[in-house]
Amino acid sequence: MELRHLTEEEIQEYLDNIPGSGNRFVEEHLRSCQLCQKALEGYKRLYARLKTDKGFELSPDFTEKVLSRLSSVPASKSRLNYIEIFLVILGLIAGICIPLYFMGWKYISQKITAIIQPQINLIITSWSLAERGLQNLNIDINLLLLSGLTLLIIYLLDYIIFRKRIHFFFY
Amino acid sequence: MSDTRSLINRILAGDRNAFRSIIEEHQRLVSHIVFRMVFNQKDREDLCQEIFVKVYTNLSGFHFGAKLSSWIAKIAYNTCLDFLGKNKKNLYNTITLENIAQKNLIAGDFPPDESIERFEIFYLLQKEIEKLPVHFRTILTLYHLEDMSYAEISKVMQLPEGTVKSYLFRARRLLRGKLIKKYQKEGLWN
Repeated sequence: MELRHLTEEEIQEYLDNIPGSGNRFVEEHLRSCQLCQKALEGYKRLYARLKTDKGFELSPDFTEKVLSRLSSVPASKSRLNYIEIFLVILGLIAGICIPLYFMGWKYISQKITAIIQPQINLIITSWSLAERGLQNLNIDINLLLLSGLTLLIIYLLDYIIFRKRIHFFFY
Repeated sequence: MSDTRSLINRILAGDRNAFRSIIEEHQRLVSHIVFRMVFNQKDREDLCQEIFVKVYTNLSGFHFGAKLSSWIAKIAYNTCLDFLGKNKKNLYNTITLENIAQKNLIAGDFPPDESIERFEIFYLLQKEIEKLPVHFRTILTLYHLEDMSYAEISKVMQLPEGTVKSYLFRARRLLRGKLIKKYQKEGLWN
């Protein structure tokens, strides 16, 4: 038999799994050690106190208040609305196929290019102007992009990793 | 589970009144979480309402792989965390012997023959619980009041099961330590 007292973790684990916890060492030790029995009793009382906490009382008309608030929020949509999904897909197919059938691919691609081309030209011109301006100021554009990317990565890491820890330590 | 499924399908089909049974069944769970996480009495009921409104608007996102109570608890926990993030003034409670007594007389926790010492222990326990970090308080509530398993708490709080267990043990050890320090001399606590 081990000659040591039970740790607090062992006592808590024993209480958490009381029906046939199977921890023979804990059970045997508790039979012979008054100090650990006393600690066990203390934990039992703490568990009992923690279980009797009633929290706070909600107002008697709480349910009615929530239900009345629901009338001003959008209704929860059914996730199984297959008809809606089918109609959306059908609409998309019709929207693509009908113009293709009546006007032909060549005509449509010319029209799309005519709409998009000026926008692409504008982006290219703005980019080259910005690049020239930065070069005049002796700023390395690659370094600037790298710095921006690094800051973005730091922000994302901070958001993903540290946010929960901040909550933990301060609240 | 089939009852829950049919109930949710009724709500999703537009029967708002069917939501009543979800509120009635889970308001104890939600109020426990809010009570332990948010200290300002005025904000508590508003938050409980907000949580149920969120449950309603997000119900279509509930998948039956999880228990509905765990899913609602997760919404309650995240809503409270967001609230705490926005309202740092609520970090401290204004708990007094009077409002504990009033609350527990309503809830019927203290029979007339209950001794003053026991009442004091209860009061001290409340104060000590409120000094714990929010994760500890929430885990104590979910484990001891809602009988959730480590796995369920882990899903609600998005923490590994080992962390949940470790926080729970540390919280109880801290509480017992505080009670011993205060009451051992008088023989009221081991």
